[in-house]
Amino acid sequence: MIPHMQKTATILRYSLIALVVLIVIGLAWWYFFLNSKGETVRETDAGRGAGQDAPSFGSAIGSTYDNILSSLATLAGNADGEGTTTPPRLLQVSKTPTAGLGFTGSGLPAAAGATQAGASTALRFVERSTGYVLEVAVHPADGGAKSGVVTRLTNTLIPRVYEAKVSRDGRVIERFLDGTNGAVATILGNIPAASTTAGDTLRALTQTRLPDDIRSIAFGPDGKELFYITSGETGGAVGVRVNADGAKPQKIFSSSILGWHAEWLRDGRIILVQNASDGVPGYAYELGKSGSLSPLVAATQGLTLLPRPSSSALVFGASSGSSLTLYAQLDKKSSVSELPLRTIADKCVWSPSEQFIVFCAVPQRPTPANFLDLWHRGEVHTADAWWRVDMSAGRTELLYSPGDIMLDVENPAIDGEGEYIAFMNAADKSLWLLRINE
Amino acid sequence: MTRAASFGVSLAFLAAFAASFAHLPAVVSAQAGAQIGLGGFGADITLSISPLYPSPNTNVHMEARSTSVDLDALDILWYKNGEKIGDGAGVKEIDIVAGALGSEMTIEAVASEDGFEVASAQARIVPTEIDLLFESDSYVPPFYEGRAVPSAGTLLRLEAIPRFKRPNGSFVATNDIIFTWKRGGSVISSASGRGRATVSLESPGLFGSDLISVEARTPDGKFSGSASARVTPTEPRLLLYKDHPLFGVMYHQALAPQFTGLVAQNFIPETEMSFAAVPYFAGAVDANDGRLIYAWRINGNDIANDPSRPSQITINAERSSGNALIELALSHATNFFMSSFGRWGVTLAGGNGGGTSGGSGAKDPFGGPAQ
Repeated sequence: MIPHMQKTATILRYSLIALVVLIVIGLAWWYFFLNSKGETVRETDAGRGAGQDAPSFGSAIGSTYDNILSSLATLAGNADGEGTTTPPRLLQVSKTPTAGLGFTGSGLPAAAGATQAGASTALRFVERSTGYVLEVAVHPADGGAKSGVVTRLTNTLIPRVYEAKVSRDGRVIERFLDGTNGAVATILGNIPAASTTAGDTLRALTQTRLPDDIRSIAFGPDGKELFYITSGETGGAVGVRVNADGAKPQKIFSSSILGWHAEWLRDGRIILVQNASDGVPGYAYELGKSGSLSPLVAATQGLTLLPRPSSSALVFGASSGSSLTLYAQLDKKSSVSELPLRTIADKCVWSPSEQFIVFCAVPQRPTPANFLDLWHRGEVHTADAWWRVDMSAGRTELLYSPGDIMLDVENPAIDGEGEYIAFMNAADKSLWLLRINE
Repeated sequence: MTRAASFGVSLAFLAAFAASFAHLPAVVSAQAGAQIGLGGFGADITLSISPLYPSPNTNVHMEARSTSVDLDALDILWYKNGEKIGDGAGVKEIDIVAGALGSEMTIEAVASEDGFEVASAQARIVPTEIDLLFESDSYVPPFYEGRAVPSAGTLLRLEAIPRFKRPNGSFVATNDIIFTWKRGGSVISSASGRGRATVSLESPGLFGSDLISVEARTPDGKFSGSASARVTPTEPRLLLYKDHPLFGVMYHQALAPQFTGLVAQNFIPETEMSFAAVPYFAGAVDANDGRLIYAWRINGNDIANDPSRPSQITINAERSSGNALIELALSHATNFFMSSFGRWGVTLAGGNGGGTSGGSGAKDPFGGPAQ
């Protein structure tokens, strides 16, 4: 071959090789470029919900619960016990914020036959985000508490329910801010009986709207009456007793003081406690049928009160500065004695089955000064353990310590058998159930 | 030995006279009334009672005094409802326990020498109770379970709840009771009068503290009582909460305040979140009261308020690092004493920029370039 032809062929060969290499590099770059863009598109689509399975409405509690839960990593936290030492005595009923709770069922004598739960006792509660009413059976005979099965009862959406109450016959009060005028709205909800033939157990909540700007509200012993405190037309507060359907309102109380907490005990007594603040004297009264006020506790700083139904016994707390003191009085004639627990009465419940036994959630670490105010404003939370106080025997013993789970107990309630205590965790409004006996 | 209490003439006006000069304890929740009488014309012996208005079933200290006779040299005999409860030479003082609400007790001191009565005096003790409740019209958010306490510039609402129980078990109606309200010892005549059991007063000024007292009596002087409370104003407290789209304002989780030099205290796993400022105990009817002036800053940049909801702000951290230092200064249009400031460090799940709603939108509030 002619030399210059050999040289040309060599150049051509190297050129072709270089071209092939460039093409391979280009294709590789194109592959990775497209691949990365595809990942971005997939992430965007996933963020918009594309490619995911349609939400299932077939579960017992509905998809809302799961949807909320999936977006609440910090709220749920370790609440399910992962990585913790959650004992079986303690059950987290709901991870999502709860507006209120109450026990229903025949374990409570006055409510016999008033609920569809039959002979069982159930814990009924209201979801804060949706206003849905849910329930879990807790009586040991039903095995509900052991399985922890939560059933949603209603499908009426009431967003952002800040406060809820449950009567012993299963009615609910839901309180929220009216979107139109910002007023505190209150509705009384009744849950119709479930159809025995249809498989769907979800029902619409039958609602009765009560007057706006109710300050405090309580169910009557049988759930068929209400007592609430609202602003009067000429200023001050009025207390109204009304049938559960809103009929026959009777003004039985008036005061220039607006800040009252009302409670209607099972024995028919209506108790009024002035809203508390650290270091500021507060008063508590029993409201007579004629509107008269009989004093229960006078001029106690940072007063919190827990009266015992069908008894004149009461537990009350005082909070002032760094001092947190709990007192007990077994009857009107006996002297007031200090209990060896540093907590507030709002974290306590009376045992319905044993006389003069009270269960209290007690902060395991010293509380800061002005604890009550800080706690009311959500500035501080406690890690509580449950204690049992036998006042007649003068004995105080640890009932249950939740280990490394931080439980800031609020709104505790005890079932009629005295076997379970339900409460909310003030830190995240989750709902918990504690079996009293091991 | 008993003695018929037949000669004592109850002089009700003396009780009122004594009450007007009495020194009230600094903080008294409830007291009771006592009527003091003289033994007869020409006698010079008086009885002092401490406390002036005994509560039911509480200890009462009584002392006999005279300016004309030497009681130390005389035998003093003490009678309760005609029954002797003590005697002895120069025994001028005695402690008794007041009766229950609705009871009436007559205490008599008789000074005698060689068995002859020199002077005597009677006092009638009718225990009463008065509760003095107070709160403020200062702002607290909906569903707040604590007390609305007074701050400078707010109104103080007080209510006296008297319990004047007759021996037959009935109570004197509030409308039949004359109330005298005092502030630091000065009578508030505009708030006092028959049936005036409630009153609205200006809260004490900043750093002040007032003793508010009320005295109550029936027109016939049979019942009287007093109560007082020391009222100390607090400073409004400015807190910040998440306004969650599902749960509303999370009043149970106040954001931790940011202290200088520390990392952000509040992590929020969202790229966008609304926050609501709550001015506890401010002189306002709601958080968006027009008298409240909110001045928001995020990472040093001023943020314009949402006119309809100046107490709230929304932060979008989609295109930013997500770190935000929220600063809020709160003042009052008419109350120059009110001034609060808060600073909160927040870390949101950020992206590559940022923004706010309710703000100007011209600048990246997280410190990025203008857009």
